[in-house]
Amino acid sequence: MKRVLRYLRAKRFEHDLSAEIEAHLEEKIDQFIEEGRTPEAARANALRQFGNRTRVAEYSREQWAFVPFDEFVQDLRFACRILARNPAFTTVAVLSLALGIGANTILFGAVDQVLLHALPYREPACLFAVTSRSANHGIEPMQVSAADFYDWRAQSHSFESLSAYSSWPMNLTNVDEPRRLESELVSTSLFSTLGVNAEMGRTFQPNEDQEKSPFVVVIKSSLVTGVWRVAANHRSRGDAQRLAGNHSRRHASQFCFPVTGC
Amino acid sequence: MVAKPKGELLPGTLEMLILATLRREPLHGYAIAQCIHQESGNLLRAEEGSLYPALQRLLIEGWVSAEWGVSSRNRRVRVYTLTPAGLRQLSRQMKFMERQIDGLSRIMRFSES
Repeated sequence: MKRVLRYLRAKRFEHDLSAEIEAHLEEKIDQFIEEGRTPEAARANALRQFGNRTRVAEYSREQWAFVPFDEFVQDLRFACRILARNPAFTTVAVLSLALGIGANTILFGAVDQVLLHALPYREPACLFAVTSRSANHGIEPMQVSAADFYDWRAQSHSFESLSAYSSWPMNLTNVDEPRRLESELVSTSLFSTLGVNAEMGRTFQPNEDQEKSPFVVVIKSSLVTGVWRVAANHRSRGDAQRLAGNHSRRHASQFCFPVTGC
Repeated sequence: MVAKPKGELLPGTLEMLILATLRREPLHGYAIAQCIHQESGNLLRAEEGSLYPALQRLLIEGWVSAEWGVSSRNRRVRVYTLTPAGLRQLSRQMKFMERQIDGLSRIMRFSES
């Protein structure tokens, strides 16, 4: 920054310096004349003693360190001229740079999100996804059956808590524009397993996954502020009439959460 | 780099000499050169090729300040003034130089004995 300021003052500075050097020379000539030389001899002598005026000015100027900046600007101009003269080369170079930078950015973005940022849960390192495998067909991962899940939950000692979820898209109706929502059918313990809580209202209670219990949803905040348009009512306890899913309730978990941006 | 003619000052001493010269009174470039030449009994000479770059360095360091004024010959010149920071630097440099000279002369005496 300092250098740039100096650079902006450069014109003024150059003028000052050359005026100063000129004055110096004149003083010297006067001195020689006072000492009894002819004006011509005095001038010649002064010039000889002073040496290369341009070089003195340049060297003084270099002390201000904007010479590197000057040279950089010159190099930049030169580069632009050369590039403008070879449009084909320029295009290829710019494209390959753009692709390279773009690919790197995407890759780093993904690595950053997936590997460097921990999941936003209480103990992300202790979270595991458990799936089944079909021994006959070698299909992996396979959805876990509800019965298996209940068995695991009852018999497994490896985990503090086990929760189930399954993709369960729903329709949002009774709004200006009905929408298909990405949502999940989950067991009531999911939020406590993940160690997260609702921003408003509450998440599920243990008895809410019983066969006869009312249909309860947890929705994401953008839905509340966006499509839902329900006045200040806290809506983490959802409005069952407006959400219609697959009605065949094959197992007892009746709780949904949107996957995206959850 | 500007080639330094023979009889030039020891490296690093020019700045100190300029600061020392300006301690008595503010002077313009030519007067500084004259003063160094005369007050040293014509032994030392501040060449223009080194004087102006050195003055720029001192300006950058903030050890001197410059203002346009008028010389004794009634010419428009840039007059340099020692700043408080310059005065502190001068005393630092003088202490350093005294030690150097002391060391040098000890070696000289030692080599003679």
